[in-house]
Amino acid sequence: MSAPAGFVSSGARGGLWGWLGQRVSGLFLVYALAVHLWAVHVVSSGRLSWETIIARLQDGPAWTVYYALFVPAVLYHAANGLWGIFLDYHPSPGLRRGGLIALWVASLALLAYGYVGLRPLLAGVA
Amino acid sequence: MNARAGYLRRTLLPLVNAGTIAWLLHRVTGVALAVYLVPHFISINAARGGPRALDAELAGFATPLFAVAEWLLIGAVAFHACNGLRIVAVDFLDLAPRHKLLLWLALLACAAVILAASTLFVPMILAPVG
Repeated sequence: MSAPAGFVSSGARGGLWGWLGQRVSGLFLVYALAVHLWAVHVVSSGRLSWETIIARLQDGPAWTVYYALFVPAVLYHAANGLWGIFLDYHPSPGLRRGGLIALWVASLALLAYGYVGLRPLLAGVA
Repeated sequence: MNARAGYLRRTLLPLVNAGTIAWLLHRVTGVALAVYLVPHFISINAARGGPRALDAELAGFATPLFAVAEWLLIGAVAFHACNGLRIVAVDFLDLAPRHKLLLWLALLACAAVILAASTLFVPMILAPVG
């Protein structure tokens, strides 16, 4: 399986798994961001606060599962997308390795930081 | 001057087609959204300071300027999502021969989302903070 010949979108530059991963994570993010933006901007419109956020997140384990997947999906999609753009500029092998390490470190740091920030809201206590 | 205009016509004009503009916009919105994740995660981390810290953080966003920024943000998400769905459809469903039609459908869907978001954000932008 590979990107169709003659219409290779830029995600293909990172190889088959990067190409496939960008599409799978992208499809999930269309759903996850629709839920996110609806919950934050429509349901809680004008009254977004600690109170309304924890009321929503305490509503059941589904929200914990949702955020457990949403955070890594968005970071993977962002890092993979930036990686594809980076490769478009034909970096030298050294620069390529540096870029890959930088993206991994930044993504893992943001993953930990995102989970730590969400923990009080999911637990309902700071 | 004339020579420069000729150069721009040769180099830039071929880029002015719907597919290339969509590619460029996908890239620009993608980078913007990736960069946005950092301040977004920082503001969510205000939750570690408890209810008062988070509410103070959120209150800081209740200004017309942030309403404009959020509106633009949702516009970027809408375009990136709709155009992304078009890319997935072209790649997975073998719809390359129809990619132009799909592009217009994606733009239509994007415009619909932005219009719906406008009903929410334009009053916020115009209303005095209170």
